[in-house]
Amino acid sequence: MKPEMSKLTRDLASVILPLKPKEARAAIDAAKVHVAKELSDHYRILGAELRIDKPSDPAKVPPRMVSVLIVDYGNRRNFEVLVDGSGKVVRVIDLRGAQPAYTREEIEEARGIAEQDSRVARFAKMKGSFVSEFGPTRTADNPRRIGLRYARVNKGRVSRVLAHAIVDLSDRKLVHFEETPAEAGSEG
Amino acid sequence: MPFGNYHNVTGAGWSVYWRIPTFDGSGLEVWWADFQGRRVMWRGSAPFAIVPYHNPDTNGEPPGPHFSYKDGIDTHCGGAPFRALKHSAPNSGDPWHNHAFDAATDTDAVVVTVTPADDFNPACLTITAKFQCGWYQYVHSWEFDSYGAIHPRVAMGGMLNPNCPTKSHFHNFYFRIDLDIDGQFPHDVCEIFNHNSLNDPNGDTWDLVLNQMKLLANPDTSRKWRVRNTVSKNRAGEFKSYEIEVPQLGGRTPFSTGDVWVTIYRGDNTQQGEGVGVADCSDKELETSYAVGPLHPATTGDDIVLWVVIRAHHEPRFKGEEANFLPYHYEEFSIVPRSFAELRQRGHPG
Repeated sequence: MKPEMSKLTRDLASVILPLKPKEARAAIDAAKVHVAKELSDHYRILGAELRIDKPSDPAKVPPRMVSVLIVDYGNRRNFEVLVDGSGKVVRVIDLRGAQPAYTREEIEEARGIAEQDSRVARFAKMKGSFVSEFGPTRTADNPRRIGLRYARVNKGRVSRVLAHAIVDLSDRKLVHFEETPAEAGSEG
Repeated sequence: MPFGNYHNVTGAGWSVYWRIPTFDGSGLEVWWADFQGRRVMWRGSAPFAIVPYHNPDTNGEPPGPHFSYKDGIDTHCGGAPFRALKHSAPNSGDPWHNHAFDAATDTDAVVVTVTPADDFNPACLTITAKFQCGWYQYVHSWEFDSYGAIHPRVAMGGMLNPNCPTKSHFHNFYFRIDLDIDGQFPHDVCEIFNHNSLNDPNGDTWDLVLNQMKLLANPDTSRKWRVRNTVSKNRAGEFKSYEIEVPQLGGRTPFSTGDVWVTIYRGDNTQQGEGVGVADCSDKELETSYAVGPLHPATTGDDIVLWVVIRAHHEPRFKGEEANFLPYHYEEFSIVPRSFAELRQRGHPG
């Protein structure tokens, strides 16, 4: 027994064990079934993660929950489904306007959409170019939008951000493109 | 699962769990921090930063009209999430464009050290990880010392904004601190300390905070804050508390409008920094959406959650030391026990 650890924390031991892939899959399956009727045909399950909330009574041990995060692009809605240890869905939480961090798959999808546009493709094809994501200004109807910065490495150093593209994954289209102004004497 | 699990570490009298959430882009968290076998903190995090630039000539980074990024959780205004890097990733612009430096699992990212006490310092348990955020790197570090104090720290590194390397800017780092002193929630009160004069009595005062609200620092009165439990006492009969001491190197701006916000616990997946920055890329939602409602200091007390901001005004040394990379620059604040711990020097019975 670790003398530094409180009894309150020792009591959590079984609740906070690492999430196993099998448990995550079961939670995702349960969540999918539970919200199937609410989902549009355009959604992505980002994954599952342990969720431990503080109990209402300090003497009680909080339940082990698995949170399944779903982005419903078609309905412009992000939500989390809480699944308990027995695989039962106990709550669906609408994240309202909050946007989870973009996944690698989403960024790749956004690039695929953006780079169909010849203005964007020009930057994507430049020698040494690379892309990084950013959170663009939001709109009231809560679409899942991803900002893409196109920048370039020149002689081992990042020169500057050359262009910005914003892709609406809900509508699967490029909604904004802008080249950044070039400073006099800088590369374009 | 590569991220999102809880990992326990011990040292310097502390037991702490750490975690990097999978989906939030919010960096390193510490959970269930216990000192000498007693609960101090349910959870601590540093989930977002607000970074306003001198303007208007920023060459699109950050974009107008606000010229201010909201980084980390629920990014806004051109900001980026915190992407966990391998702890060995270089401090340079390379990890921005090379994903080979991304951490594949949380244990690739986090370094835990236990430093023994020496002739000048207490022992220390330190949990540290670095995150890519656009061209910047942010280091999240939590130090737990054998005096019972916690030192949340953050460092800025990486490279200067490539589109406007000359432009000064502020880094405002926001910490969510959920203290659970002795595990006795919801029975805490929040208090403000002021040194008023050298004439006692009442040279120093502690005043109760009566409502959830934004609070301001004031170095002229040595202002600090504390969360005091109203149930748990030490052997001397004093209520146990932890104080928040925030150095004031940078001041408030229209984008970073307060120093501490007193709120209550509303769950571990709400009011974690989401929604902040929506209106104008500032922190105003902490005051208008988070720190809203009554407190009950005269009756039951509350489960207090504090938001604390630390700042650095960065005047780039773009023609000198920061031309190639940004040497890590650390800022920190302290969470210090009062009447919580019993400290004894080794070899001295006290």
